[in-house]
Amino acid sequence: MVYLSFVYVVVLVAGILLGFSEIDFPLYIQEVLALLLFIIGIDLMMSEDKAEKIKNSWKSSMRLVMATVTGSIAGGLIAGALTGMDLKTAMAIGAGMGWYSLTGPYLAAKAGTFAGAVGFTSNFFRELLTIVFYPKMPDKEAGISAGGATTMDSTLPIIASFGRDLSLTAFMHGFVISILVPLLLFILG
Amino acid sequence: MRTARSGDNMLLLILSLVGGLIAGYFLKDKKIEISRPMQITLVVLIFSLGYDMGSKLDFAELANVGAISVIFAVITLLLSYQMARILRWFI
Repeated sequence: MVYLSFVYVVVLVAGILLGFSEIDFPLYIQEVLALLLFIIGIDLMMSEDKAEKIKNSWKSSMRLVMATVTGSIAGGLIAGALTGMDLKTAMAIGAGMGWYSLTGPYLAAKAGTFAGAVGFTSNFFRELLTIVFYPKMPDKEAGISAGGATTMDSTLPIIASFGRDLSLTAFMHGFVISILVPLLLFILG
Repeated sequence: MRTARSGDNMLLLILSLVGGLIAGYFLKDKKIEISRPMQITLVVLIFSLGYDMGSKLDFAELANVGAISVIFAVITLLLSYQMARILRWFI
């Protein structure tokens, strides 16, 4: 997953450079975004083994989901107020909860290029900060909330290294957040 | 870039997600590799986002994006962490 994150950044930079070069390039963002959401829908429903894991640590995961959603949206609101961004867009950026590859393109299509750029990079930074600082966090269970949607894939190995119970909770938390992110983007974006 | 503010485009996105959920329900017993098409789609989308950023934003705006993004990342991460600690007292 860390390798994939690197690939995504390289692709983003390549796109920016091509954009600077003023070469005309056809974009089909709406159509590709629709295809991505279709694939995400299939992926969510095909994950039977994920559903089994989810049953195991229900209560703590749901508490963390509530914390992640409220903290991220409220954080987006505060950051939006501090930076002078449109508050609804700022809440949508926060609601990305680390899922930068969806939040960036979605907000670019819905709220404009600048919002999409902030949506991508801020959620990418969130994943990086979680990878770097999770081992230093004194409360490892609460630290799962910091990772947002990434706790079911890219940050899961780091969390899992601190205990099997934590990994189950993190997985379930990330799975539920991954369902909520597209819905919240629809509402707030 | 075209926007999705029109009702038709929003409906397209919602129907795509719902369509995927329905398709996934019927396909869940089959062994279908879904991660590869998802990654390819993401790469195309991210490249498009980059192109859009490069063609519409100048260097100063891109620097501004970086600074604002750090603020968003730090605040949302810290607030989520603190909310998790606070909610433990109640739930």
